[in-house]
Amino acid sequence: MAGGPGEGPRVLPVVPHLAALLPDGGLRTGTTVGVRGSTSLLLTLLAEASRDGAWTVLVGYPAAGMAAAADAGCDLTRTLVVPLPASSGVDAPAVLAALIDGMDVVVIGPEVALLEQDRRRLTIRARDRGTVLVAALPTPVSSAGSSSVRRETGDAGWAGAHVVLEVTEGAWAGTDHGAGWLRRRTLWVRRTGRGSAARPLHLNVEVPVCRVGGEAAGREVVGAGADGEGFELSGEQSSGTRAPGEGSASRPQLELVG
Amino acid sequence: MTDRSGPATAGEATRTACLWVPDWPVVAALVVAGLGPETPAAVTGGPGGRIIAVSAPARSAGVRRGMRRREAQGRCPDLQLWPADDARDAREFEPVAMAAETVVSGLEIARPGVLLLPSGGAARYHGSERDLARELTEQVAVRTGHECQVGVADGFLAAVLAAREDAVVPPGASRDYLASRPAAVLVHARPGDRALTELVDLWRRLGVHTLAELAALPDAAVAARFGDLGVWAQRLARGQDVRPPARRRLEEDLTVAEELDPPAHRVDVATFAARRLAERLHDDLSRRGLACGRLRITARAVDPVTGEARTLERLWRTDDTLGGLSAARITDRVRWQLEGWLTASSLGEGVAPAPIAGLALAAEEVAPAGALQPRLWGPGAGEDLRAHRAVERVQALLGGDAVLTVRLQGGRDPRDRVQLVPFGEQVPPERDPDRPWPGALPPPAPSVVLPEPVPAHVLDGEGRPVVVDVRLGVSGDPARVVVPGEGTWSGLDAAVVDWAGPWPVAERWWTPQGKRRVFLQVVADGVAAPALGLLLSSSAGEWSLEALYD
Repeated sequence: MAGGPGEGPRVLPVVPHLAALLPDGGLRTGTTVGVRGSTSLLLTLLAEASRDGAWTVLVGYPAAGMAAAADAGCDLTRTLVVPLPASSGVDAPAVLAALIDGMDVVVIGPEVALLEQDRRRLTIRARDRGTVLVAALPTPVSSAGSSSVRRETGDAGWAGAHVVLEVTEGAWAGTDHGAGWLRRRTLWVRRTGRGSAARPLHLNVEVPVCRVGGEAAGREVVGAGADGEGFELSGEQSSGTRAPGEGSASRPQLELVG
Repeated sequence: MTDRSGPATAGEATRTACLWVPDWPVVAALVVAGLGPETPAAVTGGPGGRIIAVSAPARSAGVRRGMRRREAQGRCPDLQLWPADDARDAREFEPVAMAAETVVSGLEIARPGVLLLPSGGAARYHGSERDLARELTEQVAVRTGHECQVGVADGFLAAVLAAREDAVVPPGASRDYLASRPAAVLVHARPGDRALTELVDLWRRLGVHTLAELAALPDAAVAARFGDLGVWAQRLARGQDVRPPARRRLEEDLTVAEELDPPAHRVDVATFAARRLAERLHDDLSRRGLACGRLRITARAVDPVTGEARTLERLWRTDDTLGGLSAARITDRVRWQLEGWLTASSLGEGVAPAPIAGLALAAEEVAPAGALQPRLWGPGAGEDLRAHRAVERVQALLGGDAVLTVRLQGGRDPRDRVQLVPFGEQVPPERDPDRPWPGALPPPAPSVVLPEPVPAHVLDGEGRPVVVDVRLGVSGDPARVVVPGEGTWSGLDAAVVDWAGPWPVAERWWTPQGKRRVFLQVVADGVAAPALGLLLSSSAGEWSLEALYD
């Protein structure tokens, strides 16, 4: 699928209401995408490509909930897991390089120990082979010390990433002091990146946490197209005010926050 | 009955012999359990777990198909019950098919328990159709010990029914033989097909009671009103064949074996022998132009002290048709398996690995090579092969257990719902995902499942630990969640915004492995993690963090 000879870069599909998050409306083969702060966002990104026939491998990501991946829509027959325990002393870059050659989407978990030059080489290899590299950047939970860590792409970032999706805020709907259960997740996503994704973009995304319910997959997005660009914010963040998001369970799935 | 000289009747029905072993699912289960045919036994399956096959002693005790298991056990208290298992039925039927093949050269397994064969040539060879039937019955009885019945008639349905009566229907008389029978006998041609059962019931209500009445209906009307299944049933009712029985060409499984003397203690020694075996097997396969679907690795481990022998066996699916199974790939597979066996981890705690005294490789599901072609377009065209190659490279780098495939299975908590199986290995699912699993956590599933639960503290507004009592009363509203200690998931200290639960889950409490837990979902708003969902569980008053919804 990806990058055969004489074939230009293709765009693997993503769930429609995530399309506005990505500059090409999908995962362009050969690019590197970083996701920080939400595993469910990452799994949802993979889902549509996996259903479309892409082979996906999760490397060094033992904590990823595969039941959630299946609920999001990943085809588990084409999804592989390489636990790659850090203690085993294996050569992670060699394994990743072998997988980049064969797989369509390679997810690199936060537990893979890589040096900066390894990352650069893997990015280049993925570009040559036409493989989508998805890097799960360390989540704020594991570095719970300070809130500022989350905002800056520090040493833990993926320097060559074409697109970085960062979850800055989030909300859960469905619980009510003992009653109900966690049902719907709203994420405030900040997109940064290189090239056409260089201008930071803030989007409000509802993660279709479950395809089984049918609800999330059915409702479509109102303005999930290129026209979203007009509303984008230049750089300021409305992080202090969570107001627009509270009690937002019933509104359309995506809107631009500005 | 009206238009016997219809254009489609003559010449279409092949003279067919049908070999039928009564109550096959029960017979197969008895063979596997090592019990004799005198045991009252039954096999349950289908919706509600009703009885689907009964052995003769159980039948004489009043057990019938379609009964609930409790009712059956009431009528026959020493009834042995097994769940239905298609694989077991098919596997155990193979000796019967091989016994029948000593009499005739080609035959078709219609389903486990029923064999079809074109009887024309075979009957001429053996003298008459009755001689053929007797010969088949004898050989099956002598070689496998199962009683079977053989019927010969024109066409599939007549042959199946004749086998149930152990009869030979003269050529040309099959239509009359079928005519007066109720339409419900069609079920014997396709047992367990609900659509057919419903169709037969519909015909009964419409006044079509016998096969003759069904055969007399106009073709076009049947096709328009009852669809493909109706057309199929009408053809059978007229004594015609849907298709003649296909002869199968049996390719035997190829096995190569070697004794290791002295027994191999180390992986490399055993692998050396495995390489020779792999080359022999590969030569055998390629010389005959065959490919295999599965590779069975059998090792005989002998305890050095007691001399007790134990057989270790593992089945690998090879997907040979895709990539071509080279001797090196067979060796790799065997080496990974030997590594597993010669290191104590896979043998359970306290069992020292025994040296391997014998090794055998068997190529199963053998078929002519090149029979399966990868698709030209769409998913599975080239990237399956590409992905498989990449996986094999990684397996060669890290070992066979390094790449895992994911499968959903039944379970109540997110950790139980996922089964990870080494790529290429065939393992049955531990728990059926289609069962209801009452008490399972509600969807969505958590996106982060901690590999091991981490101890946590759940505190109420006044800093006291939250306790859930036996009546699921919560001692106070959770207000803070703290994960102490050092580790990837530690250091979390978050205020609780909202919560849901507690939900009790008591699993397998009747066994020593039983677990009683109480689950709690919490939306935590910490310094670093805004509105993060947490899944906490409490067992014996201790809380632990199970998963995150992020």
